[in-house]
This record gives sequence, structure tokens and C-alpha cells, in this order.
Amino acid sequence: MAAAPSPPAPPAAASSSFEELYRATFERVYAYVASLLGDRSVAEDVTALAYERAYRKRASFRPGRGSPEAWLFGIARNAALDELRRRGRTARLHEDRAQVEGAGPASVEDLAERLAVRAAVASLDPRERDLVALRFAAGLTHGEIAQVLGVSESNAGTRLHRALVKLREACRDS
Amino acid sequence: MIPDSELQADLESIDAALRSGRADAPDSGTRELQGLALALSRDLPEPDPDFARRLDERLAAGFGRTSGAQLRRPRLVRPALAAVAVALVALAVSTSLMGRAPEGGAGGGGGVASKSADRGAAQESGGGSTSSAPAGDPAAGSESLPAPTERSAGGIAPRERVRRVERSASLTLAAPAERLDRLADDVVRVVDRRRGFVLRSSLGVGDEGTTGGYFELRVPARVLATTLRELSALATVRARSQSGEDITRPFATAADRLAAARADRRRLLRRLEEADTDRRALALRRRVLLVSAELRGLQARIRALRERTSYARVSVALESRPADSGAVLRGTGDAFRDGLGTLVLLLNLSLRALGVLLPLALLGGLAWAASALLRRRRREAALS
Repeated sequence: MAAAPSPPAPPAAASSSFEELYRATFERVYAYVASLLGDRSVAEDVTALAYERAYRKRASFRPGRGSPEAWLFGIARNAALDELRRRGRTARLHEDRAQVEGAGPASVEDLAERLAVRAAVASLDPRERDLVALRFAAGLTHGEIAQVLGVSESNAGTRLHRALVKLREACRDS
Repeated sequence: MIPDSELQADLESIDAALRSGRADAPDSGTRELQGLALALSRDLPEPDPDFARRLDERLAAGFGRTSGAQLRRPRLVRPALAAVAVALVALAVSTSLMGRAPEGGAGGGGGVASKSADRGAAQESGGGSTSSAPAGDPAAGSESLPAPTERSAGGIAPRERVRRVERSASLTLAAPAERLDRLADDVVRVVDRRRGFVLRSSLGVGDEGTTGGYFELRVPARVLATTLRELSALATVRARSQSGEDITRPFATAADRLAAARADRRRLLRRLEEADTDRRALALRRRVLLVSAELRGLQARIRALRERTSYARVSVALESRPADSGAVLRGTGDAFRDGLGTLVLLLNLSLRALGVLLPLALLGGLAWAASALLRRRRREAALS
């Protein structure tokens, strides 16, 4: 994945560079949105909406403000939060988990580990779960997470570390 | 509180584990974090292939509308309405500023702004004339006439819908001495064309020809604006003024008194017919004569008032100004003055418009920022 921001493309090439961004981020965007919403069909809708919004606003992207991925995931996050607000739910990671399962575990130990991790993640508050999803589902760097959340990079790192420490403690307890 | 250095070290270890796929930190606590990170990065929801294909198609079509996906448009109604409201206010204010822009750019010189809008006779109430009803009327007679009616009470007769305004204007035109004769002819030609007349005129003559002139004109009030425009176009305008005096009240008072006098005369004539003695008839005849004289006076007064409002007084003074060395330079000088005047006018208008638009833009910007902040907080509240 290209991490460095690219200069603004001329109109003729804008669509192709957007397509490249789409190809590079599609699975991660879906993973992030599904992690946040916990519902496959809704995640599909929101993912499609996020890409449509990004496509229509692609000319407004300014490389000086951050990476294309951070820009795109900001749009996806807003779309997901709008959906949450519309439905009046808080973020849940594990509702109808069967709908948002990842690849099947390789072994029983993996399955146990996975279930433990999921339970630990469920114990986090929604903002921490969002942070974890941005780091590990979306695969963003700390700097990109900071851009998405509108905080400093050190703040993003500190909050992420705090969430991971809580996860670790939750896993130990379980 | 974890020291920043440890925190950074942990985060870097996690990054390393994600890159290598192994949790191999020497510290057990950090190793646990690495293992956790690896587990989180592996247990991810995957998109349905059918959904991926459909989204690919939509991207290829440039995200045209399809019946499958639920399209939720961003809420732009409120910012759009706010922007439209700001634009309308700015347009209204700018239009009113343009309407009140002072004259004088094209005419050069020190034009004096008019005191009242010039729209012909009997249109609007200007400065109120407070002349009272004529005192010592010769035809008062032995019986007192009815008091003025309610509609003409008060200084300005506010209930009169049709206003009687006496208009006047004065203009000072400047031209080289050798052109003053022709200018005087042009003034008369304009007045004739507008069906007015010259009440008084004079031309001063010196060693070098005509030195100046003066005209007292009367033009129909309804064409005053046009006449002034045409006169102003004849030469350089050095000064210009207009005024209006509302004489509705004296007009209404005189009309009321006229109606009362007529009624009185009719009543006296009826009584005269019924007079049964010569002595009584003689007394009534005397009173009829007095009332008739009053009627004539009032009619004359009303006629005079009508003339004051039907015709506007225009005084035109002609001055000589030094001729420039050549017609080209004179034209250039006038053009320069006109251009400068126009630039100053445009600058004034721009500054006024800016004075309105800048605060509006600032308010609009603040409103937009507040709206964006509110929208962000509402979104974040979904995670509360």
C-alpha cells in the first residue's frame, strides 16, 4: 500500500488514481466498517456509501492535509457513525458475530484465542473499539489514525496503547 | 502512568510484529501485546464476493444511481439555506446602496445632491409647508364660516392621499465664454421642447463677449427630471440643487373653505328666494355678494396653488470658464474628471458593499464552522 500522499492528479487521471485507492483499501474499509457496525448487510451499504462519497469528493482531496487512506477512512468512519446515530445504537463488535466472521480459524487453539480476544474487545468502550478497528482492521498508521480522529499523533498512540493494555488485562482475566 | 518511552517502545514492537507476523519481544508483557495485535489483525470480517463485484460495477459506472444500495445524501440543506439567506441579504443591501449612490460622476464639478426624489408633481410629501389659512379674508361676511374640516387640521394634512408638492431646482452651467451664447440658446430650446417657458432671462456681455447669464424657467413638474437631465447635458454642471415643499395643507384648507363658501352661498340664495320683505332681501343680497367675493378669492388661491405644483421653478445660471488650449485637451480633461469621478463612485460602492459582505462572510464562516463542529460532535456521540 502506498503510504506517501500523491500530488493531485489531473482530471483525466483522477478516476484511475481513485480506482487504485479503491483496490488497495476495499477489504480494509469493509473490515473496519463491519467491525464498527456488527452487521454485514449494513456494512455493505455503508461501505458502498463511503466509496460513493469519496468518489464524488475526490477532487477536494488535498495531499497537504494527509494521506489518501486517512482521507478515505475519515469518510468511511463518518458514514458508519451516521449509520449508528441513525439507528440509535452504540457500536457493537460482536452482535450477530456469525455475520461478520473473518476467515475460519486454523485450529481449536486459534478458535479459543479468537473468542477470548473478541470477548476482550467487547469489554472495551466504543471509542476504544473504534481505535482498535482503525489500527488493526483498517490497518492505518498512528499518524493516519490521528488524522482521522482529528487528534495529535502522540494522543492517538497513547489512547491506542491504553486500549491494548486493557485488552491484555481482559485476556489475562479470561 | 506509563512513561512515553515505554509506550513508544511498545507501539514500535507491535508494528514490528505486524510486519514480521511474529510476537518475539523479549519482554513478556510486550509479547502479549504483540500477540494481541496479531490476533486482531487476523480476525477480520471479509466482504462477500458478490458485494465486491457489485461495488466494482458501480465504480466502473462512476457510481450512477442503482436500486440496490441505499444512497444517503449528505445533509446540505441547512448550510445551503444559510448561504442563500446570506446572499439574499447581501444582494438587498448592495441594491439599496446602489440606489442611494450620489450623483455627480458624469457631470463633474461640485454637484449638490437633491433634497427629495424627483417624480413630478403631487407624488410624495417633502418638507411640509406650514402656511396657515389666509388671514383677514375680505369676504368673511357677518356670519362666520364653518371651521376647516378635520382633513386639513394639523400642519401637514397627513390624511390627504394626493400630495401637492411645489418643486424647484437650480443649476449652474459653465462653458467657455465664446460658447455661452449658444448655450443660452440651447437652454431655451430645451425648455421649449418640454413645453415650459422662460419667465426671466438675462445675459451679461463684456469685452470678451458674453460673460454669464441667468434664466428663470417654468417647466411642467412632471418633466422636471427630464428637463434637468437635458440641461445638465448641455455643459459642465458646476452646481445643482433641488427642493420640494409640500403645500397640501394650504391647498386642502383652501378647498375646504371653498366648499364651505359654496354651501353658504347656496343656502343664502335659498333664503333670498324665500325672503318676504325687501329689507330682508337686501340684507341677504349683501351677504351673497360678500360670500361670492370670498369664493372668487378662494378660487384664485386654489388656482395659484395648482400652478405652483403644476409647474416647477428652475433657475439656470450660466458661467464662463477658461477655454482649454484645444478642444482635444478640453475633452480629455472632462473625460479624465468623469473617469476619476466614476472610479471614485465605484470605489465608494465597493467599500460599502465590502463593509456589508465581509461581516456577512465572517458570520457565514462562523455558522459553517459551528455547523461542522456540531455535526462532528453528533457523530462522535454515536460512540458514547
